[in-house]
Amino acid sequence: MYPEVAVASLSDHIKDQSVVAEPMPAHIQPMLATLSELPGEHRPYAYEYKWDGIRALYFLEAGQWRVETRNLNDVTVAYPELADLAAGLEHSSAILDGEIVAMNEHGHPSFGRLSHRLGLTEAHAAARAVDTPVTYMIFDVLYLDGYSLMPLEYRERRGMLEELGLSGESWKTPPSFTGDGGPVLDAARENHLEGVVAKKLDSPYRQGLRTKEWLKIKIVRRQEFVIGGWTPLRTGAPVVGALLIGYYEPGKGRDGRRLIYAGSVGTGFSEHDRETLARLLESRQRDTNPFAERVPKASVMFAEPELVGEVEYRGWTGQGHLRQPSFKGLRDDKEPTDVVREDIVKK
Amino acid sequence: MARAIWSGSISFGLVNIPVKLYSAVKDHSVHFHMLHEKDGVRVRQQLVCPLDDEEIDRDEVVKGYEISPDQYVTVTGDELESLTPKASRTIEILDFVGLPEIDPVYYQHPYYLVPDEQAGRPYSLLVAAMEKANRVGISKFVMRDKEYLAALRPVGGVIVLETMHFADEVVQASELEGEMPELKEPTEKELKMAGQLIDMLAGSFDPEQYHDDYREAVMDLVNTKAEGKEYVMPPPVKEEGKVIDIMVALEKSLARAREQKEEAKPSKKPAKKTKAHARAG
Amino acid sequence: MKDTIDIEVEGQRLQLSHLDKVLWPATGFTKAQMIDYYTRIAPVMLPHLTGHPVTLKRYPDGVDAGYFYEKECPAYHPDWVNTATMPSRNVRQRVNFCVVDNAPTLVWLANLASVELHTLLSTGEDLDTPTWIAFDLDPGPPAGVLDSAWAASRVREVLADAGLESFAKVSGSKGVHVYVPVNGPATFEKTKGLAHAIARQMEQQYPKRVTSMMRKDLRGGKVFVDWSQNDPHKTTVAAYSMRAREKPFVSAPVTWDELDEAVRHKHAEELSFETWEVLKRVEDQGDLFAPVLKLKQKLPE
Repeated sequence: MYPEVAVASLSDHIKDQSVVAEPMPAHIQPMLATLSELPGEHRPYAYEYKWDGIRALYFLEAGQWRVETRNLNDVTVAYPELADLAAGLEHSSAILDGEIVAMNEHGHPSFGRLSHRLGLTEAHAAARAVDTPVTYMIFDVLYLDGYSLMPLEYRERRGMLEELGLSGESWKTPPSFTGDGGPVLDAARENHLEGVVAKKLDSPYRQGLRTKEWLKIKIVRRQEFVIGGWTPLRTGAPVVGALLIGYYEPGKGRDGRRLIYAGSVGTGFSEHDRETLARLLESRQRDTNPFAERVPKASVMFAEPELVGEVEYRGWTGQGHLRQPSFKGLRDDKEPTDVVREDIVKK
Repeated sequence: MARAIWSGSISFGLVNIPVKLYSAVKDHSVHFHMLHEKDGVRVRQQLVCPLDDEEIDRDEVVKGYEISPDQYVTVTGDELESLTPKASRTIEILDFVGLPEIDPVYYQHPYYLVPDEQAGRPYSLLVAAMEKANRVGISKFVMRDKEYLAALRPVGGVIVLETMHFADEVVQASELEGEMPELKEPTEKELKMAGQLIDMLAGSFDPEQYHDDYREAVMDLVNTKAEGKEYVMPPPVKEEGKVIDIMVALEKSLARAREQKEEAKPSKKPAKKTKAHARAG
Repeated sequence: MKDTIDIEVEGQRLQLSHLDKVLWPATGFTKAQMIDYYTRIAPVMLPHLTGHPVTLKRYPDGVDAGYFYEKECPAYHPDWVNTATMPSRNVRQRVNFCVVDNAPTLVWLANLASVELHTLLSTGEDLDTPTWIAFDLDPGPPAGVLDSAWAASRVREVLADAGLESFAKVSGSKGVHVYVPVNGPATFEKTKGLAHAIARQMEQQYPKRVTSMMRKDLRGGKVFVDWSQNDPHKTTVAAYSMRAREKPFVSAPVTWDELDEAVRHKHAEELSFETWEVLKRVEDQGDLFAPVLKLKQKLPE
């Protein structure tokens, strides 16, 4: 798994003066990644899985620990389960960088699930820690025992992070891979993760900067959905503004299934497509809502759920709606009743 | 086979119809006995007097009505017995009212009234008359030391006796006023949507379609154990378990993806003579 | 009720859907019939499609109900559907076209209600080299197909003077296409320049009947000699493709004699071909457009 290069320890770095003693920074602005395509196989990057949660920095000093988010908010009280991490760190001071995630009932990281833990006071956090547990995925070590590790190359910091061996009930150190990022991205896609992050092996930690040394490669998902309605682009005009889409799930409804609303998609069509779609949907007009639940939109025109469209998207919200959907065309080769939510079914 | 719970007679005016009472419902809940785990013996319950600290007998027990905290008026079984209007085993019909007038909140328990052999004619006459007039008989009767209010209604040629709550047993909805949040008038649109929702689930009442899933699961467990099979309890999935699961799954996916990449290497693929698709598709 | 069927074409499995859907309401021509036509014409049509990136015009509800113009090959295509990528500096602008080089692909597209198939003039292997020059003769009303046919013959004459042989097909609507096979080194700059020059020459020679100007308001009863299609990004409707007209017409190859005869006798209907007529023609006469694929011609300076 890791390096072809022998990793130096902190004392080695102290000796060769690649790290300098300094007081622990009170706050750290996390290093940010740029959206990108996957780098070519031979580019000098390491690949890590991208976890959909909240970015969090863990500070330990003189036996006291705290957690801060990207906006430098102190959220320590909201995550009491991270207290034991301090004990696990056999160092007097440390700063860790990572992501706090919560898993949904399908075993995938879900930001929606995590949202129940945001903004909690101490009183509620303890109770919530039981019903919505979180895990801190640690991916960087920035400070250790009085020395800042930020000037070190990523590969060095990574080696030291792995030496720490941080793994507990509520925290883990997920792996990092060199070589071809393609299989890593494939694995991420298969397991419904957001994507991967590519980190340049020789990059120091650049506080608060979004550089090309860290790249985020997001996985685009795609599946068919049934079109059950639309909203016009302009009032009264027979031009589609957005399509209301959904998928079938077994349940109380006609033929033992119901059409679940998955959100609306308003991009991916040309002006011409918007007109053509409006015509196709108008000829399938119906007064009643074909979806199993109320659709939270104004001026909706419902349609018989006969048309199926292919939609690209980047994930699901906690409410079961698509994130950043984009229309990719009609699929008249697919039967509407065969359309189901794929990331759950294909397990 | 069904067993009559009680017998008496329906009376109204000069009419007297001897009947037997059968329960119209049967309990389907799964009943468990309490056993001592160690030796599988049925446990028995003891009545213990905490003051004397010893077990006492049932006939050393009297009923006490708490008129104020820790202050009781005792009543013996005999005294209660004397209150029961014995002679009257009659279901006395007091009024005939329209069925829809009775709010279902009053209903308790349904029974079937089956006429004695010689009472067939007056029974069916009563059924026919109630059906024609489209009315049900409100009556009172006493069964096992308790007085009941009941509705007698004709259902498919049989009289169903439905015991009812007395008025003072029913909590009026107005008493919930303090508990209810402010209810706003729905908008036309909301009403329309709600109506659509109702339409979507509208159907005729088919009791067969509703199942007691919990009971079925319990019986499933019992039967599986009876067959000697191990019942596998699904382990409660802890969060750490989920995290470990996904990390293992990722490892497997990665191994597979790398393997596939290796396989694709050596021979040059003929068909696609064009650029490869972008991977993130 | 599902009207789907699983079939096998040249060893590839496909599922066809909505077979009974009427795509040409005027005659009741169904999707099943369209798929049938494309399946039967495949041996003759495929050579004209092979290698050329194709754009689709899909009419899911029939020719009267609106269409989708699709350049990007649907992402859900089976893996035996080949594609060609048009490079672009902007990653987002790169287009993956479908390429129809096998019968199952043609059937698959027909199942998607791609009534019309339009191809680039170059191939996926060499997007910068046009394989033929195309003239699209499009009549401005009240001019009709006979006027297009007449203009086509004149274009042929001009081309012959330049030492170039040409071949014609009806557009399936009111126009006529004239193709000049090149099949050798050439650039779009050259072919477009040549076509433009010829169009202008035609305009000079027959000002009352021909125009080389795109603007529709300048056409008024004249035939527009469209030279602009000789462009790496433009497409022309493929030979043997169906058209989304009122009837299931086809862009069918014709002989010069047929064009001249029709003009002489003023028989416009002789230049309209529905699917079964095309199948019969191919049986009797073979692929009239075959030379467009084989003939190598050198372009004059």
